[in-house]
Amino acid sequence: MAALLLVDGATSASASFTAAGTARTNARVASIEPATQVTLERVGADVTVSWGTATMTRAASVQGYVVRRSDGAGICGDPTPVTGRSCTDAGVPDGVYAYTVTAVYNTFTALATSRSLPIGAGPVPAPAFDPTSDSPPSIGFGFPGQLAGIAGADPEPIGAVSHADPAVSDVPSAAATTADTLPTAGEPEPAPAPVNSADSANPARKHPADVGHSHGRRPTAHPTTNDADAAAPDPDTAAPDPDTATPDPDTPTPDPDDTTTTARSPQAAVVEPAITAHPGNRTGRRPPSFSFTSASGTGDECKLDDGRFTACVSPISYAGLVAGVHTFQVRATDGSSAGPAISYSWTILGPAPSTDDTPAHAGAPAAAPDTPTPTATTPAPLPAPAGSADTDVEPDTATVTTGNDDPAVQDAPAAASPPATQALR
Amino acid sequence: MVRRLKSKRAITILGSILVLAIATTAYAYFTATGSGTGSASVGTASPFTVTFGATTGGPLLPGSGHQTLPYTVTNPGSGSQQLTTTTAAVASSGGFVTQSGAPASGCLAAWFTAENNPPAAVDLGPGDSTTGVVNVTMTDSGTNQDPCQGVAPDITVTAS
Repeated sequence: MAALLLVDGATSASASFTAAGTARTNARVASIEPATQVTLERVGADVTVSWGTATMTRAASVQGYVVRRSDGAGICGDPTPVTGRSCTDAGVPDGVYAYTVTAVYNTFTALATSRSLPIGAGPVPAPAFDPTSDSPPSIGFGFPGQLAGIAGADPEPIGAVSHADPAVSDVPSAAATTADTLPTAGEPEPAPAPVNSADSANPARKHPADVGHSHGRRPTAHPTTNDADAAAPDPDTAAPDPDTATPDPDTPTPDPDDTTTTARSPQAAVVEPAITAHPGNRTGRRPPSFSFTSASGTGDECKLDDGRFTACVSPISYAGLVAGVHTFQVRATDGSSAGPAISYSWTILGPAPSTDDTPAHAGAPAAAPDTPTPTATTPAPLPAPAGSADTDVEPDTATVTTGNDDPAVQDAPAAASPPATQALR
Repeated sequence: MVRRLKSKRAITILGSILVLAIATTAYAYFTATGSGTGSASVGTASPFTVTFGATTGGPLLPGSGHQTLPYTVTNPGSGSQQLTTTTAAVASSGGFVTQSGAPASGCLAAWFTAENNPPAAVDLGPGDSTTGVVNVTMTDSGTNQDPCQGVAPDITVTAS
């Protein structure tokens, strides 16, 4: 009888059968929106950096901030991020500096950058940016120098940079100016900068009252398509210097014996550029635009996704990208060698855009095979001629002047314009 | 002689049992067929359907936070189907998590865990369902994980 039950039970089980089924859903990862309103206030050689709160999506809060000077010096928050929203860099050596404020949550970061600020007074002009010390800020807490995936620095939100003068605080971001260019009242004017310095072509530096209107969204150290300076270029200061390595004789120039030049840190000649503006983490169909600093002296090379590095200038945009995750990379080159690349990854949402909606600029670097078309929005030539004696000093400033002085640039589409937040250097 | 008779009787009994067993087997088989789950259904088993409920928890952050993804497994067929187990995974391509099927460059799938709490094995009748839960977390790799910011990793649950 037991045998009967066993047999019967086995038979019943065989009446059921199995079938697999699969479904997919998504988890969600938070992201950091970078600190806003990074402002600088200088008192003598002390610079106080202040910033607005960085926010995180989905109700989390950043753990703190790391502040670095553009020469790589850690100002505060390294190794332990500070939770306040200001810190002071005391005794800043003469020079022109920008500051980066990196919001941190464990291994997530989001970087925001101030405008540049000259430090130092007296007959000796502040040197231009030290290309050997203007590497992008390293994160400094476990992964120094790793800037891949700088998050949240969506240019548009940062465009609302703060203003020292309340009267200009409501100026649209396209003409926004940070407090960092304003000397503290009662202080001597900043020393005049070299002709192709970021500041020399900027009248706002000398006229604080006009700073909100005459200074663009980014310093003149970089090509700007909608910089307010471009609307009224000063032929005496904004005209491109045919030889970027040769200071304008009418402009105070660094003393050849000035040790500030020779005292520059002996780092590699080719340093990382810095991505100063990029799309948000997730964007729509608008062709993404990138701006980056150039510090190498002869040029930069860009790469998108799996393409190859090709010569490029800032800003650059890419049309025809399909939805999905993309990675932009840029590296500096001195003609003989290339420096390390930095990258930024972001996601394009939705269906693929039309591939013919943004024609490639005539001066744009050739696109790598099977890569989307890069579109340069500013026909800024590469700066100093190769072999110049000082090509590691001024190249990007020359690029700036050219960019600002090009009327065509002023008509560049807004979508491809450098955002208000790219106030690096 | 008596011994031979006993042997014949034993053979007869065993034979009867065998006949009964065969008959029972046949009966069970035809019962299944008669109820609509017979041989015609065997070859056309309907895949389980897995549906996700409302996600709770989050956000996912390096080293903290988790999201709970409840799911329901349903037998859409007209016959019973044996649900053995379910598995959950972070979908990946080339080592990167996928987002809506596309790889999220730089965001490693290894940084995520999908801990599955499957339903018990069960014989699901037609239209019956059972539930499970997946808890998703993100580990702190100690290296820059910015490529994962804002990403929505695909999570896959398979019922079999």
